[in-house]
Amino acid sequence: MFNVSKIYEGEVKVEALSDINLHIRKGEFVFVVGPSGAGKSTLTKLMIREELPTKGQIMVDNRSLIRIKNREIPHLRRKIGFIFQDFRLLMERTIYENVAFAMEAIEIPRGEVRERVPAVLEMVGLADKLKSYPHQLSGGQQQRVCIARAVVNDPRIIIADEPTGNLDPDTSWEIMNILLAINKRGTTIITATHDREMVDSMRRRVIALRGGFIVRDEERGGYDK
Amino acid sequence: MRLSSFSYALRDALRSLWRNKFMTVASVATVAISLLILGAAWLLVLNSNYLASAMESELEINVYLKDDVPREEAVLMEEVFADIAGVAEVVFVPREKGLQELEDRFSEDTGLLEALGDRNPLPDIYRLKANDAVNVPAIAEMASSLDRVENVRYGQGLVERLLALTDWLHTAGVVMIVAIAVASVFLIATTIRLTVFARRREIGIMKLVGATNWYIRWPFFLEGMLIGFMGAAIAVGVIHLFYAELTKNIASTVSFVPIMTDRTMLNEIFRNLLLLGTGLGALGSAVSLRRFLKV
Repeated sequence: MFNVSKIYEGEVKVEALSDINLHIRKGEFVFVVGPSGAGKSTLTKLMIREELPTKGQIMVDNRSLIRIKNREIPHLRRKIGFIFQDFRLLMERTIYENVAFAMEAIEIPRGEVRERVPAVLEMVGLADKLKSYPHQLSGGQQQRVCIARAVVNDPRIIIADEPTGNLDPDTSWEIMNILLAINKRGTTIITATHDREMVDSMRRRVIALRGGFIVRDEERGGYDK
Repeated sequence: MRLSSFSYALRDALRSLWRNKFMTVASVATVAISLLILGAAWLLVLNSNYLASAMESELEINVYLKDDVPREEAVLMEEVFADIAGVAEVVFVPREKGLQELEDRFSEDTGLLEALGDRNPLPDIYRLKANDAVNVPAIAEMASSLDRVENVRYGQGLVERLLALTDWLHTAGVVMIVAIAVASVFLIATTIRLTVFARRREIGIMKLVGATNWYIRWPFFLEGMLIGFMGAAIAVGVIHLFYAELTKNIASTVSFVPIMTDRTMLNEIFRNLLLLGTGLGALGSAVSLRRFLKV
């Protein structure tokens, strides 16, 4: 259900993305790879309408992000979950509150929040950490909180920006397995990453960016070839 | 907006008021002081208006008829005066009564009547009252242009000066009110900016998970409105106590000075101050959010 085909030219002389054509289908698991500055983050910013492309058209869930009205943007973003390299948890709130926060923000009734948050935290294996604070958790656990927060509102698409960038290999695999499990339930997953080993052993679709161009788009690809 | 969302917003607002205690106290105090001055200025203007209208209602125009106007004609002139635009009241004072008044005013031992003998040097007089002090000069001019009128007197100059004073107080009050309001708005805006800054991570995450702009803005608005309301409440409390004391003192010492003690009027001022404080808070938040919360 996800259809991106766009041409984008950066504003201040920098061409972050040039003439990109891309179609990601519903339920796919896609890696976006490439060196820093290749345009990976620009790509994700465009997908959530944080920025508008200079040229071209972007469709998410059959809706044009160019023509979408400002007040509809929040509703677009509810279809997309985010996972960050630096987790972006709220340090002064408990794990439960961090996840509940995402539901409160889109005005889900409190009763539903109380049911759903523990269930999601259980799925990522943190059922016993509801009352802990982020700083009491390891990096892998914090990333799982971040995943729980991303999936709690049941998005169609999850965009993960370097989700394993700060984690050791074993922990990275745990995280990847959770993402795979979410993908199996039909959620599209788009992962920007530098993790060569991970990409090589997963053998999923790989989109390689370099200097704002797609240099490779390969089913069951590796990091380099 | 859902009730539960409102309670989240209220919780967040109270939380950040508490977290920035010092800034909260500072801005509440400023709002309180501002509204205190505003309330005092307001009461001053109202009281000066009250004083002015009290004096205006005392203000009479004395129309002296010519000596040779026969009594029958003099009595008939009442209608002529009543027809002048702006005249509220017409009283005929025949010369005998005028003399009587004169005698009453000076005490009996002056022997005024004896000194005059049978002669009464006073003319017949009409006393006119204007419905508004503004009309006094026009009425006076109109009356003096009449045939049988010898002379017209009123507190020349007094009315004009009184009106000028009231006008000045009005203008000064309005200027002060605007200046103070602007200052309060900016202080509240600064406080809200601090809150926005302290919560920028939360705001970022809220935006990413698809919170609506208004959901994000509400806690900040509430925070500003709470600051404004608390400041106004303090100002109202202080003014209430102080004014009650003041009216009591004035009533017991200089009782001839008219001072306004109308409860409903005071309550209206207090209600307006509270509304204004809350409104200033909301405005301050709006200023801050427009500049610092790009949603």
